[in-house]
Amino acid sequence: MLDTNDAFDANGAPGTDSAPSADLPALACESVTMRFGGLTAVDGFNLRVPKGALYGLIGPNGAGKTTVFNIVSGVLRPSAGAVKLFGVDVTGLSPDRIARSGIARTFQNIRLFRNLTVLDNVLVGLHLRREANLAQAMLALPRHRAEETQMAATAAQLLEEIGLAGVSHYRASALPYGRQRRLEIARALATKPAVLLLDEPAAGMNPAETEDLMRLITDIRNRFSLTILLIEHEMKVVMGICERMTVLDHGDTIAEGTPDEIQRNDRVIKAYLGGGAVARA
Amino acid sequence: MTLEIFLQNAANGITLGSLYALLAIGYTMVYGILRLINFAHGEIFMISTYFAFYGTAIFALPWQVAFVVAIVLTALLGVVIERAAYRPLRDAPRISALISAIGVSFLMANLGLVIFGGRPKTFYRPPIFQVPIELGGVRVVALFFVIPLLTAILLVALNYIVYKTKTGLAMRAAQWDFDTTRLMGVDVDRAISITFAIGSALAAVGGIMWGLRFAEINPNMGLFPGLKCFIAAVFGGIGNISGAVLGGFILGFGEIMLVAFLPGLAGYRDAFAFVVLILILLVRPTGLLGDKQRVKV
Repeated sequence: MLDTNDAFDANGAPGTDSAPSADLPALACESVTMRFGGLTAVDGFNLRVPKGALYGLIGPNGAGKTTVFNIVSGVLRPSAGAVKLFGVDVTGLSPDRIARSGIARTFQNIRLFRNLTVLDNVLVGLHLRREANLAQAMLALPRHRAEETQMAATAAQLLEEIGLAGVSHYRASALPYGRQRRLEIARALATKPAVLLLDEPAAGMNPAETEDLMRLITDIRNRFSLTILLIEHEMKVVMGICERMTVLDHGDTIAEGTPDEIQRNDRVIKAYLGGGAVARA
Repeated sequence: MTLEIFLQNAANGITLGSLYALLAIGYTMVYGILRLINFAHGEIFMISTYFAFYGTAIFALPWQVAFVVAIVLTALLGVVIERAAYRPLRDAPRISALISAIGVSFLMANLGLVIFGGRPKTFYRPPIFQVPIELGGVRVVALFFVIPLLTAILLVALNYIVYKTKTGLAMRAAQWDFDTTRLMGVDVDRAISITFAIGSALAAVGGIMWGLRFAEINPNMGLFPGLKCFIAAVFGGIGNISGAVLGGFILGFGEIMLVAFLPGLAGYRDAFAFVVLILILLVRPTGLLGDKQRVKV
């Protein structure tokens, strides 16, 4: 693609050693506000996720967590505020440009390309990092073909690392639920993100699957030197693997800190037990 | 009916089927990605023949050049129509874009009448296509071989683009889910533009060959082929490229054979396609090769 911003590649692409200064967060939200008509879904949301962190975003239903994800990934344009990736403002860019600048995500309700094969799902993400266009594909056949072969190999390797080797030619819709979740993560990784957003990755999983998933998440964080922001309902998941977290309730940030701090926080306990409504009334 | 006459009709049927297939692909590709019946597609086909006509007749270009220019211009026309008439309605209810498509169709047919004039024009036919060839007792001109052959080549190329290239993968992904495709870094608008360019270019090839075959072009010529190829696409399973090709061939072949075997029904020639449409909608609404109904997420 033509408009890949070099600044992003220098800072954001995983594997580059030019580490940005320590105080520059990988992902930052500054006073992000989202209003839908009269409803304020997210109000003055602030977030600083340091590079390499595994950061949790939790809160009861309707707290605005997914709205934050939609804003960060460019699906929604915030009413006010800014989203910054390694200090570069990406607020309101189209989703494809945000993806190219190094943010990838998964969905709470799995959104695979169900009509494509497992391999093709990953290839869609991989193509983002490739230069050859349609004309080149049609004219420069040998070069194009070599590139295709290499991409297929990269995709196969990625599938292997994520534990999906051997099913690459299945239709995505044919995979069992837990593996569809893994495929969604593999597809997101294929875009070579610097920041990965996981929206309730453990939703609908049984305890054993959840256990595997937690291992997978910490594993990919290290292997792909990612910064991960995770939405989760399952307290065990967040408390177990996240280093820090932010708690949202009805669009407001009610707490921020380490898992220990959060577990002792009165406002968080109230929000989760439903006492919050009484307190606000 | 003698074998010779049957073969003669078969050649006619395959030729017409090829033309229908080329045109039907445009309907099915656009529907696949936008869930929109591009009713202007027949007029795109019509205008392509005028591009070629003016290229040879007014600008006196060699026919090879004129035809290529016409194909390129038609592809651009398709892209411009999408930009101007469909993209602004992308988030509107689907019926709005459909109405817009019908509007574009009327606009172009009537602009054609004003600009090109209502009197039919004679399409330039390079002699090379008129060389008679005799095969197994059947005498046909070279064009009858060129049309199916060229169609086959284009189908292979299209298959390559859709299933083996990055652009094709982007188109197939977008067909399922725009938002997620964008999140993979794919410029969905670009994929849609390319879809329109490819569909329109194929319509142009069909249009030029139509001109070569029937020698006469007029501003209303987009209507019936347009409707029939829309039916071919529905018959094959709209959204499915192989289906459109199959539908196009069955319709073209069926139409010729109907007249050949039942000359008394020759007057119902155009009705044949519509009867097919009604039957398929009653019996198998998703078409011959269509997927079962799915909800766009």
